[in-house]
Amino acid sequence: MSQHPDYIYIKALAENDTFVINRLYEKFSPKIIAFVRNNSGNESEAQDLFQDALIAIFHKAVEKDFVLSCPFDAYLFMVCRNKWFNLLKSKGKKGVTLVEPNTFNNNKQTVELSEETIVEDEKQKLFDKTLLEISDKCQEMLKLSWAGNSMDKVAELLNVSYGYARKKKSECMKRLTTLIKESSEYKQIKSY
Amino acid sequence: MGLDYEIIEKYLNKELSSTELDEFNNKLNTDDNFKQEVALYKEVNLSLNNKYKNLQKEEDLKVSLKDIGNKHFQKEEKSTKSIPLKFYLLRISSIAAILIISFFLLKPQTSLYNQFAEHSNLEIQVKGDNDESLLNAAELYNTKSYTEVIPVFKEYLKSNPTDYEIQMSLGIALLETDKSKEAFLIFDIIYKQDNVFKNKATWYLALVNVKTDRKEIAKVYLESIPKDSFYAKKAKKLLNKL
Repeated sequence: MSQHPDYIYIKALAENDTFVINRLYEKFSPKIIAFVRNNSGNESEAQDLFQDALIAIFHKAVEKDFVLSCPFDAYLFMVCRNKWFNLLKSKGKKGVTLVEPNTFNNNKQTVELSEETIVEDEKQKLFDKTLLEISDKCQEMLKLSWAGNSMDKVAELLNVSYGYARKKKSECMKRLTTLIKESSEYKQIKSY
Repeated sequence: MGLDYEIIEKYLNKELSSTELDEFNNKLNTDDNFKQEVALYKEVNLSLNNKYKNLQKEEDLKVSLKDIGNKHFQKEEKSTKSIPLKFYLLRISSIAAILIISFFLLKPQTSLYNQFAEHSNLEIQVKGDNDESLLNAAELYNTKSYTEVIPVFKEYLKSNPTDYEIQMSLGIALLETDKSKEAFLIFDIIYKQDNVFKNKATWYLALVNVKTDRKEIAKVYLESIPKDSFYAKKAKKLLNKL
């Protein structure tokens, strides 16, 4: 599969290219503002939604093998739309029906890519939130390791032996994954 | 369940001996619970690795999105306040760092660049102390002695950092001497200052990208040049060639 020419927007997010990001806001935000306003939201909620969607897309953008398989416009809109839908649902609104713009286009690639983006984003937020529930030492060690340090380096930074660091890391991961597994939110995300 | 997670870590790091690996794979195929634990372990690891490896980038991006978002979402409160140059330099340097690296890796696209790189002369009006050096600089610049003029401009700008005409000329001299990354930084600052040189800076930002063969980005710059600008005609011509 090849990159859609709109990949420039993906790249701009990955590289924090403010010029292109500015264009992105110029081109795509009016549609999102209109959508949120038509679906019981205001402009400041639209701004938060837009930013949240772009951060979710950023996390895809930094993956080495990410391929933009559809127009950016459709992708961004679908991510915003589904996030907004989830938000309304979580506020306890039953049987939400969205007012869609008449240009709404839900082709397979757009739907799949945006679903994947949202599920990964929600999981990441849940994992990160659960991380706060394990001990400070564990958090510190895991973060150092995820930030790209080898276990040698992590051991050195924390002033412990390599063997201890490895053992501790696996214990921390066990604690973290156990908490995640037990959370009701995880079951909910998994069932999408 | 008393499962030892060190074995999963070893498995992911490909550190298991062949007998251990056989045993591990066997367990994966027969023990559903184990399979799920390994899958979740991998998923959490991958997800938070993505998060923490890029944490600084994410924080920087959030700052930009907040700034830019405020401009586009609250139109009634449009602020015209400009940010001091020094502060901008600091922020731009972190933002542009990645762009710069890619400039280095790309081959120059000189032929198309040469067709469009016509620079107007620098005219200096005599007013103050720095005149002598600046007049000489203008002459160097107008005769395309770019390598020689760069240090003179830089010296002058130390005491006159807001002379954007000279900033522009320095940017052009840098671009001409293949210092694309430095040129980019200067044009980008001027672009964001939103002053009379904005369209000129936009045009040169496009040229930097043409020269470093980033055509898609160049197009975005060209498309944003206003129709009534002096650069509009050139921009259209260049767009057609990209």
